[in-house]
Amino acid sequence: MMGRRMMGRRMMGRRMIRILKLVGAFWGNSLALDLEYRFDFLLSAVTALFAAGAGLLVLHVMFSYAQDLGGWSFHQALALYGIYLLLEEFASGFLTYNMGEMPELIRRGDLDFILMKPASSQLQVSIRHFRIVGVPAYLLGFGILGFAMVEMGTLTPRNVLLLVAFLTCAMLTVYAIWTMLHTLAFWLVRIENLSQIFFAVFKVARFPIGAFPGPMQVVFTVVIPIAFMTTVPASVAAGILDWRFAVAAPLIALLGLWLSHRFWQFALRHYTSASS
Amino acid sequence: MNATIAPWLRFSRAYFRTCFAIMLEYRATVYLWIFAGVTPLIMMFVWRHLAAAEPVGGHDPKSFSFYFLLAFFSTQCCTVWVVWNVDHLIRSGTYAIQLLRPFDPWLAEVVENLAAYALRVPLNLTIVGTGLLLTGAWDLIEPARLPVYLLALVLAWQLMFNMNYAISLLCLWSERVKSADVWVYTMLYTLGGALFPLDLLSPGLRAAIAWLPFPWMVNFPVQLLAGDAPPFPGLAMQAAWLAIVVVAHRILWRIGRKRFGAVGG
Repeated sequence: MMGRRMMGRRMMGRRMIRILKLVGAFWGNSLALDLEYRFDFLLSAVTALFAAGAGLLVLHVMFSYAQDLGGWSFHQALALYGIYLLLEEFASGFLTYNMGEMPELIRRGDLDFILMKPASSQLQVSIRHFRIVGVPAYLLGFGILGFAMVEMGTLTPRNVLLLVAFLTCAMLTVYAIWTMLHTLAFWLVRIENLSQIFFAVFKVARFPIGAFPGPMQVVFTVVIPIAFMTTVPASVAAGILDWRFAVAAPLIALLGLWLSHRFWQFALRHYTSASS
Repeated sequence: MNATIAPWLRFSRAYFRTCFAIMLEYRATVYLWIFAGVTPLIMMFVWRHLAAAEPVGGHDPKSFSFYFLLAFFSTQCCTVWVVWNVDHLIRSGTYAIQLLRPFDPWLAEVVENLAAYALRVPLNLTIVGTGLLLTGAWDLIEPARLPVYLLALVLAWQLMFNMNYAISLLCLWSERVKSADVWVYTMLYTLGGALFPLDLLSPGLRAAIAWLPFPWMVNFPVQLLAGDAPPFPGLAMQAAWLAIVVVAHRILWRIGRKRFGAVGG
């Protein structure tokens, strides 16, 4: 009994190491590719600065008239905006770039090559490329978040650990919704239009959900879990975490991950290679 | 005179019918893209909520509703796909077909844009009209201003269209023109006033951005319709910027077309 559990644990560990090695190889490969396009890096840095500047201007204008935004102070809202920038790049840069290849893979039947490889096909499709052009946006997001936390005096080791945990939950939630949306590509060939709806809704996440009227808050918490993407991690950074959200966030992330995995497997059963 | 314009008109009418048929076929896509532009409406809810207790900078919820519903309409009228179209045409080599026609490729882009509007604007008007009725902001419209408002909207559209057309011709030199387009839209939404009414900015900042084309494309038509801004200097600024971007794309066109090598054609 003991032995089997030990063995199971060792298997688990080996699997994790294998996945990490795989991700390392994938990302090393895309890094080499990206270094060919140094001008793109500069351009994306300027674009990220523009976008972040625009968002900061909005916050500045709002707080020059209002004391709080749905009960959030300027620095709390600033921390939230930093987290929004991180997740925005994660969804629209990282995940879209990866999953954006899905329709082509399916249409041409190239998914066959991925299915043949001895690693999770969902993993291969969703996180294969890490683009260095996304780095400026991440730096800006972390910079704004860090600045706000220093100003609020909440930059403690405990908060940082909690923040890492809840940011991971938020990223998994975004990942789950994103992969489920793109898995629809197995049935609907043109998916990029559908992702526009997600982006439109996701724009809501740059403000705390308290900034919206009551019925919309319910929708953004229960129907589309926008609240768990930015409001929850940001309330950790602001030191105002509500314990109900703290319990719900990991559960939602795991549920989403499980659903996205089941949906992916369900979709694969409907895949009848296009090439042959 | 008539003999030179007649073929243009004939071509435009025929091309419009083709484009409209294509748009109609992809109507789901056209309507879905309206969703991509709902940011002003999201901002409406945030600002209304902020002003629920007391007015913010002289705006109550009703005035915010009016502002953002019409700012949404302004941005919708300024949403053109010309950079993406021309980028695709040049890169795939299909641009060669446009060059073979005895008309400037500019005309085809304008006509295609109009065909998209023919499909989009009725839905936009329904959204804005419903919003105005629900919030009771209907009566903030100054009826006498409607004709000059329409003129300002057409100028705003032409300004955005020709600015994007000038940018799209840069595809002949560089492959990274799409990010320039992203900048233009960020500027349009932020400095145009689709995220906050521009009168909430500090006077110094406001005066500084007044030299840019963007405030005159979103904020100005809205204020014009509400009777909060006079037709001048707004219309003059629109016309001046329009002249600048048209001259720019004529120059780019004259130098750039020689560079087109029908890649991959």
